[in-house]
Amino acid sequence: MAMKKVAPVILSIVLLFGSARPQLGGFGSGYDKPLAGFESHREPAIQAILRLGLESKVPIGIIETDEQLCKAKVDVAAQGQTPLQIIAALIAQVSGYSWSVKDGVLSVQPANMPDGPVRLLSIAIPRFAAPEGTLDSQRAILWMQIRGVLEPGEGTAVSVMRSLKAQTFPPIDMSNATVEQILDRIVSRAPGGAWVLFPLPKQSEWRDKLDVRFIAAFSYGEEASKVRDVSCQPYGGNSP
Amino acid sequence: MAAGEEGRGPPQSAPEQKANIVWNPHKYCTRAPVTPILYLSNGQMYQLADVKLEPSGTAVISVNDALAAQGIAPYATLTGHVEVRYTWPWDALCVSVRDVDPVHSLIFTYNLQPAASVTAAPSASGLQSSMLEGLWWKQEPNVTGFVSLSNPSTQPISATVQVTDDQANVLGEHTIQVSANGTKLLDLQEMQSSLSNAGGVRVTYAGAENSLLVYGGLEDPVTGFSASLPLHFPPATSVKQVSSSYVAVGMMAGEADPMMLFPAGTRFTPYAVVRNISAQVLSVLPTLYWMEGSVSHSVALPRFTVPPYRAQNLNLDSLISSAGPANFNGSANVTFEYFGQPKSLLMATGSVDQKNTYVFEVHPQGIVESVAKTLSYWSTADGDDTMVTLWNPADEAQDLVFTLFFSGGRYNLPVHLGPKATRMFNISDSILNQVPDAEGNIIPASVREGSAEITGPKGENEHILVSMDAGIYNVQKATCGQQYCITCQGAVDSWVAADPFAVAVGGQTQLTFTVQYHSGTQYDLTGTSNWSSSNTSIGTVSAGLVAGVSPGSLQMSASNDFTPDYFHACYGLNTDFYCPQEQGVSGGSGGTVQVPTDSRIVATTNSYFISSTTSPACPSGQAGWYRTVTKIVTDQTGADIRLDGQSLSEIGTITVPNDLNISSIATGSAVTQGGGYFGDIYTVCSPLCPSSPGETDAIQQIVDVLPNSSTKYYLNGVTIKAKCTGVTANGK
Repeated sequence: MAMKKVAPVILSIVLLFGSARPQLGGFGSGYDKPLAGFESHREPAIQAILRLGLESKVPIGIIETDEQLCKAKVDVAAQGQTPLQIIAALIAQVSGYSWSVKDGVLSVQPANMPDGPVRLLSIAIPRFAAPEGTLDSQRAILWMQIRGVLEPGEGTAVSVMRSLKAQTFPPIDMSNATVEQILDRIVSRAPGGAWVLFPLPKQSEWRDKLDVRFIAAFSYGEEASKVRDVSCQPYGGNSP
Repeated sequence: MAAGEEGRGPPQSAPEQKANIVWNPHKYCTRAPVTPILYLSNGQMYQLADVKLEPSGTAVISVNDALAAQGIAPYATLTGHVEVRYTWPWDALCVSVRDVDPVHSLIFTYNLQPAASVTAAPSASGLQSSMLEGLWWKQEPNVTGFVSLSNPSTQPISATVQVTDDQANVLGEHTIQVSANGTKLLDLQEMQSSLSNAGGVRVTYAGAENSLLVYGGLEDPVTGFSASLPLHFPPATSVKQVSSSYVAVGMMAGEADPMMLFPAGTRFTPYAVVRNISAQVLSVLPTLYWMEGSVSHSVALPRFTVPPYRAQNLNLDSLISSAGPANFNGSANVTFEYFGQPKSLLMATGSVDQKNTYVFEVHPQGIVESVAKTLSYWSTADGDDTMVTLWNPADEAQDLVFTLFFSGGRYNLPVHLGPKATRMFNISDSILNQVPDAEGNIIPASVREGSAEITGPKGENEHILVSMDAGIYNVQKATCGQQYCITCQGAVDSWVAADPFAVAVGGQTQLTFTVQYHSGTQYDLTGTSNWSSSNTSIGTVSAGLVAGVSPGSLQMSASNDFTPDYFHACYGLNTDFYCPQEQGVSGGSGGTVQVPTDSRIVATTNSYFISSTTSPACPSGQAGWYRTVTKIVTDQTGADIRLDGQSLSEIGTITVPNDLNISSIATGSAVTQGGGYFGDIYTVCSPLCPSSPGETDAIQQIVDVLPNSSTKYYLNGVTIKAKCTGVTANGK
């Protein structure tokens, strides 16, 4: 029997969290809390958005359908402004994208959302339950559930390495929730985070491209410097 | 030493003599049971009851009483030797055998030799021989001498004792067979017939050094004169010549100090007798140092030469009179400087009163920098007092702390010594004064004995340059003795940690170099030591920081030339009393420069069946297994790489068989923490579970990027076998 390579992920999340930062609680209040300062100069928009989330502790979800968020270089010099004011200033410099607050998450998405991401994020998961663990491990469990819906006749194996001292997220158990609701719920709990859905291939190609990292995952870890490592080339395959 | 015997020394017991064994454990030692054993001259052994010693404590055993308790007639004149056995990591006891004859005002103090030398067995082949050189002198015409030879081994040893005059002419020769564990006492009758007032003794025997224990003494029971007879191994012919400096401190001249309570009219005369025990002529420069008030003075005395093996009585009193201060009265120090082989000048110095009854022996000691020095014993009991002399050989003033230790306490006596200055004091003064020290301590009036230490104000490891001598004297008994040992604090152990060490290629790890003093205190010398690598193409080291260059094994070494070795010396054994004898400590550690090669499971933290109703939950209609593990990366030798900060990522590939119809595998990433560890979560869900007995295999490829590096190391693939009933990685 020939070996069969299979896709690494269908959905990826960008996680932003700080180890020694105060716990997120009632994230809605974070949007209106002015930041002492936030500056961005000729920085890719996606990095600026993620860094804003990291620095403000605001949970963020990003849906990319093209390269605009990577290509657009933004300039912001804000003092005493709220995250909402700053995200507005950032998105204003990116053609074709808008922002909103949804399920307690600051959501950045195309003004005209294609069907693919909508369908993926709308998949209903009968039961999503994950024990306490890293955000990456909970994201992997979610991915198993998505696979179970898309390919119910196939099984899934997961290996998720983790740092032993990485901050963990509490257990989660949701029933009949959509993928987007689950993602929003995951990142909305302490210590918080963000998720990013990169441009999807056509739905008909989802299975064929399972061995291609067409939706990549980024982990910022606990250092703000990791934001700069976010790649804008999501097609990396099942390789680190 | 794991099981040690401190050593042996010769007691003599006669009806009119009292032989005592006195020993003092070092103040840092904990309670150690000590077993004393008496050997009579015929080798008969008597093991005495164990003695328990407190730190700094002193125990005294009467040999006479001990022998009587064994049924030995108390009126018998006996000779023999003493052995004490105890277990301690180093020579922690100072044990003296003190023969006192109060009737004739004689005292002989012998300190036991350490275990290392005692355990040396006689040469099996009989080819090896050892030689000791000694020095006799006659303070007055009726002085005679003796040597005792004790054989601590279980085989007889034959020895030759040769007596020479000051010109190295042979006066007599004796061949002696010493039985196993036996002792022979030999009178040096040739001394009395010799016209010389000084001469030599040469003891030759078959066996390694110290396989025969030799002690000697000089005496005149009529006048009450008694002194030790210095003995030492001569330098080997190959030993290079160096400059050596010795000092005899606290030599008394003129009228006795009234505070010492000697009988009125007692006057002391200093003496110095030397013998060259090397094959080269020695040119010796003596210098006299004395105090006038608080000011130190010095004068060079006439240089003299000593041909090989010749002995010479310097008539020190005349030298001082001719070259030194007129009508000198007081205490003086005399230094002896020469260029030659170390330990080639045997010296006997001290002071003796006009009746030759009170003999204050002063053992010359090497002038050398040290850290703390310890005086093993002082006594103010039964009419005793202990006179301490401190001399500062340096050209600069020094502040020192003289600490008296006694059962239950300590007392600090600050000492300021100007350049070349001397200070003498009686320990009884500190007890009588009852003046609190800086810490508020006083010495209870009931305290009669203890030990002492001289240090710099910064503590035991501060380097100081001071000569210290002490004598326990008893005016009523007309005895003076040095029944103590001087110990130079210093290193008893040193090591590099970690040992072994491991460092990844391109990585760094910090080694430490630690020295442990005799006191038990450890000092970190990492930053002040010299470090070297056995192979810099594999790894380099600087201040203990190792950098891995290429895969392989190597040795890292550290050395510190300025740390003195611990030295424990007892007077009567080592007339060249350099303390410390050696300086410099070193250590090493072997290690590996590691290449990330593989990984292994260290522990499993969770392992259980899962379904759509558990947490984690499988997709609806599926079941499987959930296992969390702790792992570590291993190197090319299979050893763990205990390095934090390794960035790990992984890829997974489903292989065959795939009985569970698994079509996908997810991955994560980790950074090693807590000593190189990382976690991994294996989860499998299949619509064929839980009923299928099948198996799906996958290969987990881990990629390792070391800290501060961009090189990717692809570890050996991990074979993951997933079943409905469990998940294994590489069969575990």
